[in-house]
Amino acid sequence: MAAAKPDLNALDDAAFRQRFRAWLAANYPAHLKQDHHRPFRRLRGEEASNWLKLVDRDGWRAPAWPREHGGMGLDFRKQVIYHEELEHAGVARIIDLGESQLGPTLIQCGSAQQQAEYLPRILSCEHVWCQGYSEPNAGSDLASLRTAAVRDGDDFVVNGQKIWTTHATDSTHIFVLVRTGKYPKKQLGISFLLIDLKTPGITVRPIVNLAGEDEFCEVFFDDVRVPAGNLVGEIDQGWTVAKALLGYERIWIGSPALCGKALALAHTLVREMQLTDDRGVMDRLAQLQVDLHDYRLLYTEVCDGIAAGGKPGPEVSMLKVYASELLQRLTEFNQEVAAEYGALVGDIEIGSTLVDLHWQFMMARPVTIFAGANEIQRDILAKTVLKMPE
Amino acid sequence: MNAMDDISTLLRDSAVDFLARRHDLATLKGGIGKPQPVNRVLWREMAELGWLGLGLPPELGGDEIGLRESTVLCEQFGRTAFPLPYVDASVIPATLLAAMPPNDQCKALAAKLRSGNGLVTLAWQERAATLDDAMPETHLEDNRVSGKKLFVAAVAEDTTLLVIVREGAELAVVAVDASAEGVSWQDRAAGQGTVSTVIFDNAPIVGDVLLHRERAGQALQRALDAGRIALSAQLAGLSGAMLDRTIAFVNDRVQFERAIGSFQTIRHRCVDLYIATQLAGAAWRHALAQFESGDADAIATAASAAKARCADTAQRVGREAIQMHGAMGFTEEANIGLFLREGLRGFAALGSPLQQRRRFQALNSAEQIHGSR
Repeated sequence: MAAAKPDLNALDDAAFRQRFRAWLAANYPAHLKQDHHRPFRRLRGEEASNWLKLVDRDGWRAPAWPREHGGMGLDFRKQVIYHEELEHAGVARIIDLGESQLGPTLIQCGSAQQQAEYLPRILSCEHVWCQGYSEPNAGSDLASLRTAAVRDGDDFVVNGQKIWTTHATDSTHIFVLVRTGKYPKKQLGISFLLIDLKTPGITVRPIVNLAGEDEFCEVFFDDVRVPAGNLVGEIDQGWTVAKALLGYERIWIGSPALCGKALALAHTLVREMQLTDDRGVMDRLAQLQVDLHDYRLLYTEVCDGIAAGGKPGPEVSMLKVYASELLQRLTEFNQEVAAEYGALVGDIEIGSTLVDLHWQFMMARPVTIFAGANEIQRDILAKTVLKMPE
Repeated sequence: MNAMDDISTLLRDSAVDFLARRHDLATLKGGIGKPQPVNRVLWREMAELGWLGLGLPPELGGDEIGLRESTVLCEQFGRTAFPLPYVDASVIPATLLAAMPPNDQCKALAAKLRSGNGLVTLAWQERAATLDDAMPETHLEDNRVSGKKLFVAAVAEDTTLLVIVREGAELAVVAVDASAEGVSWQDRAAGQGTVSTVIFDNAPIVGDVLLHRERAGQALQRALDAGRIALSAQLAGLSGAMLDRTIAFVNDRVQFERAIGSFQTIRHRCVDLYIATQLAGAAWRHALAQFESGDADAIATAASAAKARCADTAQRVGREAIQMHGAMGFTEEANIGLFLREGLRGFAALGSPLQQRRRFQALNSAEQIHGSR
């Protein structure tokens, strides 16, 4: 272990913000920034790992993890600031599921041995994790999953298939939900397993998406032997393990950051397309502007509530619903105001701005689908917040 | 902060109690299209409760509480479709008076406002679809006012009108009694309330000019923005009440052997309306915070965003609420339509969402749009 890191949580909020902003300005590579060409840029593979190692080296890794596990131990308010500054600096998103999901899960539900083995390797990027939840017949209805794990001596033997596994080809490990038992309530009998992707019997096949990227994959398990010690939490209780962190996930997934990038592109497009005197276009833009303005206010209110000691309740589902649909409306506006340019697939220059309108439009399609389709989120809100009958 | 929260809690409880005892939705029925005078019995009770003139400074008899407390009341007025013109005849004139030097004339106006004996209201607008009427036609000459003002609330024999006038090439604020010679008006039903077209034909002002030039313009903008914020809170309250009533209705109403609230199409619509009401709340609370600490442009930006959001939300929730109530929703008996109609006036008053968004755009994002590349 490196020498003890300074406790950045001890700084006041303004000083913390300033320190992180300065560090990002000095360290984040300019060519990897989100820009009008790639407003929702994501890093993966080596680019992602190289950046995260730098983040780790200077003590900015794992803002939400407790310090005893190598994280920054930031309070929630500072975590919000941390995310705001990433947005402000144009830092590309990284689907770092080891840091954002598995780590916190192990800290909450994992054994001491699992924590010791996996947490440092997540921080150092020696292990890169992907998530194996969805299956071909278990998407929104996740609890219907059928990938099975059967105990055989000291191992589980896993058979089945996962799908929509983001960045599996860039990952070394996968955490999966598998069926280990049958109960009348199908959320029971699911277990949470950690699997090394090099284990014999695993096949990973990328799937090309509508934006032309192979971000997600299918993962096939054919008699894959997984040590029993890789079970997280109790057998058959994996649903509870997986759900433990969902509230926080929906907070970050509801971030207005991507909408901000899309609106900035909209501003540039109306200028470059010489539409600033077109009242119809400008009125539609004004609607999007107030929508994002007001959404940022709502997001801040919800975050403030949590920072003041609340827990993310089911109402945070509204954040994901609204932010994702607003992102789509923004990208549709961008595609539409660009007129014929909006139909061009690939890099184009409009005026002096390099854009790829097809990419931003298509990259905004799945946001209403993943992490619980918006229809599912609306069901959750109707049931748990509005108390409507089923 | 705690003391202020306490005041807000007390005020809210007091408003809930008053409205439950003294306001009956039945009084809003049977008079479609008929202008209704301000109910003076209720108005004086509101004065006794200390609600009139919140926002006046201590020199004018106020007590250090202001728009924040007014919004607490307005939210409850919205929740019950309470039609009295609190924003027009308390929030806006109090904010305008607060910008004036506390001379005897101003003190007398503040005392009248606070007493509930007689009304004080602002007459500023001369055409539809404007946010400030930068230079009015209505003019002041030899202490007499001539011109026409539109959409003025709370006009009666005992009203004192704070009139925005042109004095030469400068803006000014003067007081004119509605009972004075040369003042006439015509009432129209607007939403559940009443607005009037007021004609000043060489009408004498009361005392001296109250505010001149830039100070008049700044005070007017601040007063109108205070009105927009308070009205936003009222419209948000209205929206929340319509949604609550609708959810209660669809959870109770059975068709096809099921509560219609169990149908996904109804559930999802209600969720979307819920999200809309949450945005409305966040928007007006932010505008209130800006009013308390921001500069004029920050207040204007946030007030316009809030007014646009809350007005749109009240209409949207109201229209969808009618649909989800089915045929019953189209009747006067069902109450829900009273809320929709109440929202109509607030939708337009002090500038429609379209105008508010244009103002927001001009203030908030000119730089981002036009850039400096």
